[in-house]
Amino acid sequence: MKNKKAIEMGFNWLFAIIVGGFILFLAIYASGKFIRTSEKTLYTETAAKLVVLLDPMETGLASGKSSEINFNKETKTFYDCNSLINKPFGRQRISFSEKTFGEKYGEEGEKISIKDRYVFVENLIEGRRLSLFSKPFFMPFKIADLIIISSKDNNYCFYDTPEEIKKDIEDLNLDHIIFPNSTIKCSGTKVCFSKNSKCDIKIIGMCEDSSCENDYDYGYVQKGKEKLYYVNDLIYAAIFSSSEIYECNIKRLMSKLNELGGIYLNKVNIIERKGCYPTLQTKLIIMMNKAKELDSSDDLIFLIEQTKEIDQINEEGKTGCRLY
Amino acid sequence: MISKKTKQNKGQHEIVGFVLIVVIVSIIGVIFLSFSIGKEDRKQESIEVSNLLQSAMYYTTDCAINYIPNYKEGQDLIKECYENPDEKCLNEENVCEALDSNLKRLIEEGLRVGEDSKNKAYKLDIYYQISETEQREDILYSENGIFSNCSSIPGGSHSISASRFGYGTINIELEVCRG
Amino acid sequence: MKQKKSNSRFNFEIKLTKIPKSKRSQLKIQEMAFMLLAVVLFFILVGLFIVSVIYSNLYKEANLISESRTLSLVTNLADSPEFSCSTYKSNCVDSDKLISLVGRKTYENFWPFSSLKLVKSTGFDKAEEEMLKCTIANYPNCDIFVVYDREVKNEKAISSFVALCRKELENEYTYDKCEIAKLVAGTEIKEQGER
Repeated sequence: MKNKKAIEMGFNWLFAIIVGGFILFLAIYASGKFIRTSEKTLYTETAAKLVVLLDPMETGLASGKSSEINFNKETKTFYDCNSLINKPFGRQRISFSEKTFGEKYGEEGEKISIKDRYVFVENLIEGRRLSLFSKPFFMPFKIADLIIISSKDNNYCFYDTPEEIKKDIEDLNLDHIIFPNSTIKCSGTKVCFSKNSKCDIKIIGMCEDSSCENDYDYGYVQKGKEKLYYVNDLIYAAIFSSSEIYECNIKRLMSKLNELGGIYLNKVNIIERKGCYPTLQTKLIIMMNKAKELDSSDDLIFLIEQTKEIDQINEEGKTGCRLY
Repeated sequence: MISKKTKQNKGQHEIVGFVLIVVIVSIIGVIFLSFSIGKEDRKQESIEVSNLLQSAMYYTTDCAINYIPNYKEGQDLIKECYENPDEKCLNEENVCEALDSNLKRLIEEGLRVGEDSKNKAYKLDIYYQISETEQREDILYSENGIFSNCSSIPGGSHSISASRFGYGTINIELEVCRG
Repeated sequence: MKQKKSNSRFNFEIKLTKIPKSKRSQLKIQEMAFMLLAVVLFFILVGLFIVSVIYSNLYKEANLISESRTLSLVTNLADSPEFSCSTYKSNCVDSDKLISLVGRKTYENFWPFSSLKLVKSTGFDKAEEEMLKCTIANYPNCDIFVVYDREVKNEKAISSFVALCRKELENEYTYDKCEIAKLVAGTEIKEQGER
C-alpha cells in the first residue's frame, strides 16, 4: 500500500465530485437566471421612474422648463409611438437598459406606457446624461406640452440662428446646444437655419407675410431626404426627434386638438347663458375637421390660417367672455 | 496562595467591569433617547394648507369697490387692505373687515374647523415684508378656536408680489391645530 | 514500592494545581468570544440610538416628499389644458369646461388615475352619496363633478384644493366668479399578484 504510485479513487470520491459538480453547475445557472431576471426588473423599474420624472416637465403658465437626468453608467433608452392604439390619444412607450460587466448592455426591460405625454426624441438614446426640456404647444389654445429629450453627450451646433430662437434656447440653459462663431468652435450635429448643404439638419422657414415674427414661425426641418413640417415651437420637436416619433406625435396632438375643440364648443353653449356670444364656432369646427383628417405634418400648414383667425376673434371678444 | 487566587480572578473582574460600563452607557442612552423623542416638534409643513391659501388668492369675495360686479379677488383685497385700510366696499363694509370675514368663511369651509372636527383651531397671519431681515408690517391677524393641546400643527404659506409698493412680498401664513 | 506510592501522589498534586495547556487556550478563546460579544452589543446599541435619531427626521422627510409628489400630480392636472382657466391663473379649474368633460368616455384611459372628481365647497360637508352630481341641466347648482370613475376594488384618493371659476352674469356684466373646490384623484392599489 505504501509503495503505490497511483491515486486511489474510491467510489465515494467519484460520487462526491460528480454530484458536487452538478450541484455547482445548477447553482451558477440559477444565479445567472436570477441576476438576469433581477436586471430586467430593475430596468423596468428604472423606465417607470423615468416616466415619473416627466411629471415636473408640465409647463403650466411657464414658457418652458428644462431639466437633466444623469445615470451612473452608460445607458440605452428606447422609445416608440403608436397613434392607433388607445384611441383617440395614442400611446408612447419607453424602455431601458444599461451597461453591465464586459461592456455589454443588459437585456432591455419591459416597456412602460405613456398616454398623457407627448415626448419627442430619437428612437434610441445612448449615453450617461439626458437633457429634457418642454415647451407649451398652442393651436390656438394650449393643446399639450411638448417634452423634448436628447442626449447631453452629443452636442448640437446651431448656425445662423434667429435671435428669438437663440434667446429661447439660452433661457432654457441647454448647454449641449452651442452657437458657434469665430471664437466658439463646435463639434457635433450641425443644425443650420439656411439651405446650407453641409449641415446634418436644415431648417427652412416659410413664413413671409406681415403677421410673422420671423421667417421661421412655420416651415420644415430637413433631415436627409425627410421633411418634417412644423409650426411655432414644434420646430424644437422636429429638430430633436426621429421622423417616426414626430409624425406619430403630430397625429396624437391633432386628436387632442379635436377633443379639446369639442370641449370648447360645449363651453360656448354654457357661456352663452351668461351673456357671452362668441363667434368662432364655425372656424373652430373647420379647424377640428382639418385636424382630424391630418395625414402627416405636411398638412399642419393648412391649419395656420384658421388658428390665426380664431385667435383674433377670441382676442376681440367681449370683456370677460374670452373662450380661452 | 491568596495572590495566586487574585491573579486567577483578575480576568473575571475585568469582564464584569466592562459589562457594567456597557450597561450604564446603554441606560444613559435610552434615557437621552426618550427625552429627545418627547421634545419632537409637532409643527409640520402641509401642502394641503399651502394649496388652500393659493386657491384663496383667486376666491371671489363679496367686496366690490368701484361697481358691481367688479368684486375683488382674495389677493386684490389683501393688497387693498394694506394700501388703503380705510377704504370701504360698496356694501359699506371696511375692506379689512371684508377680508377677515371672507377668509374666515373660506378657511372654515375648506378645513371644516370646529371643536368636534379634527381641525380644532387655526391662526392666520398676513403681513408685508421687504426681506426676511427687515421688520414686517402686519396687515391682518385672525384666529379661531383654542390653539392648545394640538397633536400636530400643519401649516402652510403663500406669498404674493407687492410690486405696486416697490420691493417686498405679502406673506400669508396659516397654521391649523389638529386634535 | 515506596517510590511508586510517592510518584503517584506527586502527579495528583500537579493535576490539581496546574491547568493543562489544551484547556488554557480554550479558556482564552472563550474570554475573547465574550469580549467580542459585549463590544458588538455595545456598538449595536450606539448604532440604534444614532439611527433612531436620524430616522425620525428621515421618516418625516420621506412622508413630506411622498405627499408633495402625489399632490404635484393633482396640481399639474389643474394646469392641464382640459381644466385650466382662461385667465392666467395657476391651480385654477374652469368649471365651464369641466361640465363638458363630465361623462366623456374618451378621457377614461388618458390620465393615470382610476377616478377623477371635483367637489365644490357646497359638497364639503356632505358624504358622497348625498352630493348632487353635476350635469348640464343642473349646472352650476350642484355639488360634485364626476369626470370618470372606473370603479376599481381598492382605491386611494388624493385631493388638492383648487380655485373653481366660471362665467357669471350680473348687472349686464360678465365676470369670473371663483370659489374653493377640491380636485380628487383616485389611484388604484393593486394587491400582490394582480396585473
